[in-house]
Amino acid sequence: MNSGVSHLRIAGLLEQVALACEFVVQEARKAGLDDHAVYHCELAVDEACTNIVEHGFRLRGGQQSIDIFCHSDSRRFIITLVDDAPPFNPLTQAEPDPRAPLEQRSSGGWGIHFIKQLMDEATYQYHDNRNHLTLVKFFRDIPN
Amino acid sequence: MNINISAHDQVTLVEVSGRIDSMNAHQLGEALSAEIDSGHTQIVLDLANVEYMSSAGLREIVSALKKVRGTGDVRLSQPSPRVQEVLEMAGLDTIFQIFPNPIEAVGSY
Repeated sequence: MNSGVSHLRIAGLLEQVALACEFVVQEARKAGLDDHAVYHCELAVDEACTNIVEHGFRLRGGQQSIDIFCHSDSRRFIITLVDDAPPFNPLTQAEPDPRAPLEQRSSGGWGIHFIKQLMDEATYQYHDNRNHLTLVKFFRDIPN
Repeated sequence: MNINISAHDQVTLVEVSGRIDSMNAHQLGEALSAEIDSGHTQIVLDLANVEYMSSAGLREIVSALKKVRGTGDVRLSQPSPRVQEVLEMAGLDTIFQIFPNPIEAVGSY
């Protein structure tokens, strides 16, 4: 099913991240993803927005915003997160090793790993002075 | 998120319900730290009623486990399939001892 683009803008604050999650859950359901895939989209957007707020906007006092765009085509549900934090490609950052023993682990740093695990595709671009992170979930049953 | 803490002999049972995300995970971390700092290092974290946990929640429970290492343990009880999936993605299902119910988890100490 092709759809128009839905959009939500949230302030760059942790307390607004849940609004982004609710929006993506609603749009993913509308697009026809199953419950498990919807949950994956919710968690991926939670991790991505939290990362932007905690790291990208850390020194800027919450004056920034994140734009969330959702649309779908016959094969995929597509989420794009756009922010004006300094250029930062989260997908090329070193990831923690899930096989590491406890003593070799730091406590956090799992957000980007989760995004890559949960989504079928994740791509990053920087243009128009903004970070663009695109997350894709494929429909399991592709219509003929 | 709600946190209920009870003592069972030498074991502290921490029952959490609701959603654990970046907005409230620190509250769980503070509750676990308060127990550990007061000498309660044998902990069972019951996750039966946690419907959602992001990496922010994982960060807090791994911090607690690191804190008690050598003097106690943090053991998990009945994570939902969604929480189990998160634990597995981070490889924590092999680091935490996970029990099917809080009675077995408390009894394991």
